[in-house]
Amino acid sequence: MGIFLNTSIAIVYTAFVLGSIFAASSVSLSLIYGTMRFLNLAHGSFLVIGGYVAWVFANYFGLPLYLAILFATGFGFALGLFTYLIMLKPLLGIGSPKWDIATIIASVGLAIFLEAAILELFGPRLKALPHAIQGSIIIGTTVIRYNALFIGAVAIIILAITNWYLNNSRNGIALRAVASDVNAAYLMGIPSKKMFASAVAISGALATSAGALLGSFYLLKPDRGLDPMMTAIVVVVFGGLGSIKGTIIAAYIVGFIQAFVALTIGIKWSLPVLFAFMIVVLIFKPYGLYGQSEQKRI
Amino acid sequence: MSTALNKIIIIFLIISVIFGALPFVIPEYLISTLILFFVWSVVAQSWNLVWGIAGLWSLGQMAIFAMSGYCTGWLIIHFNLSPFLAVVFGILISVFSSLVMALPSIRLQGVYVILMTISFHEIFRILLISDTSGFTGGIFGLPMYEGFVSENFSFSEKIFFQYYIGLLMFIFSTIVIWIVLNSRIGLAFKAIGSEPTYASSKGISIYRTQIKAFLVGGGLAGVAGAYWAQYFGTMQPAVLSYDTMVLVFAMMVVGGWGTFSGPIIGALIMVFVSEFLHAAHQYRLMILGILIIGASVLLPGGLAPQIEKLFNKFFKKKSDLI
Repeated sequence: MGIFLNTSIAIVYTAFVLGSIFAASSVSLSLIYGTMRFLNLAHGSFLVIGGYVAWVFANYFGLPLYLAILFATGFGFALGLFTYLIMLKPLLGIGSPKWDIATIIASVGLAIFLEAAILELFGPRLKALPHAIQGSIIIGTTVIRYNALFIGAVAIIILAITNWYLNNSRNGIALRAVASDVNAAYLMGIPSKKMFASAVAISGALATSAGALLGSFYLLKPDRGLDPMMTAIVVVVFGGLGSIKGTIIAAYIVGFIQAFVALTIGIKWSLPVLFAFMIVVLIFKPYGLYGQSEQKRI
Repeated sequence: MSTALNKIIIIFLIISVIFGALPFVIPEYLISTLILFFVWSVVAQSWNLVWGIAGLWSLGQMAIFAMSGYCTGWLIIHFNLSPFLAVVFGILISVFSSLVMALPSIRLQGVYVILMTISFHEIFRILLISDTSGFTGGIFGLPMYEGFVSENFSFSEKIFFQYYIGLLMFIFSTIVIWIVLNSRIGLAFKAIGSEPTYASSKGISIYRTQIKAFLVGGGLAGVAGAYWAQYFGTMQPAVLSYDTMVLVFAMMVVGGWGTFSGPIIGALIMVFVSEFLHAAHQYRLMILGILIIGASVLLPGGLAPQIEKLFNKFFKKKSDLI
């Protein structure tokens, strides 16, 4: 009974922290796919860049973690805007299959470039972000670090702000309108290009802030973006591409599965089980939990 | 039709003769670069058959390539099979594993196929790397073994033989793809790739055609993988890395997906660009990234259609005379 209780406390704690981070790092991917059907494979690099920008501000300027995360968010906003201008704007309006593939490839090129640039700037050695709050509490045999709880809380705050923005602000409602039907939104007088630009910028900001959170939970390395990106893709697909609500629910389920597998079967199996889970989900629900079929969307 | 066929055969013969004569004139290190070109162009062509022509967005091609190579290596090392038999079994296993991947993927559409196939890729990669029993070779790859060409030859003789085996594989696969594309199956691939609804209304079974596309593409990727395994005499998990996948995928896209010559042109360009960029040392990947962004933004359809346009502009009258 004792072992069972301790394991369940550890699972719940890990699932909460992982789920919050996954949700924060996946929402941007879902948002950008929902608005402009752009599967951003440079997402992993965005996450890593967020971590490094926060590291620069925390390490060189001695800022506390939450301010460093704020600066990383601002940097991500600019990076997203830049991505839109150089990569996506010239490709607008070339038609569906070409658009999908050209943007995926361009984002892969961007990922290669960004990863090499980070490696060149910061070197291959591991870097650690400072903790926001020191100390820990021990419940049973589980060591609960305050910093991890802080990260989970910040992730939830980011999600709440995003949710509020998309549901209540004028710009956010326009974004959702463009996401559900570009042509109808255009006829209602919504400038779709401006909305695309703001969607990419916001998703860049979300990605880098999530990356800063990831960086203070794990360690920073130029090629550390790949696994979180894969997890984010699993989360987004499981929730249904383009559905924010589905993404958040899926993030906690995936966090729970990872925590459960890592703590009961072994950490080696956590990613294979996750991918096997995704295959099973796609077999039975080809559009994820809350996704709609492509025909209906067009 | 017959004149077009003659022209294609003549072009094939000319290209084969050029490639056959090349090792006598070029330096040795370029021979190994050309071997890389043979392998990657076959993988890019098979990928193009699945993705570009049949419209199935599969990212599992590298997993099938590696599966065939690894099975060849395992059969040689653990079961002491002769390299010839091992290569045959490797190709058969790659066909079988592409069937396994095809069955759940054909129900999905678009981006979801990407995610399904990349899950297979990742499961294979992680299980391969994290195995500690020593069967798969783990993160360090398989120990060296003997391929087709005996170890008794000197290095330069060996690479000479390997070049011609690679050339044979390249010509064989290219001809297979050309025949497939010009047969009824190829027409069905093109139909389900460009207009699936219309194709199914004309009586083409989408599921069956998609499975066929997976099988043909997987088989050819398996041929390339088996060649890779016997050429290097080892298998490394690096062939499953994200970078390698991106490189091969970029070949298909830079050259022009959905065209016959696109992947070959793309492979030629990317192999040599990435080889010459070694001079740029640490900036190599950054330049490569910029090139990929530039190619996909400026030429979203790839290079092959542009080259065809230029070709038609200059040779239109001449081709009429023939």
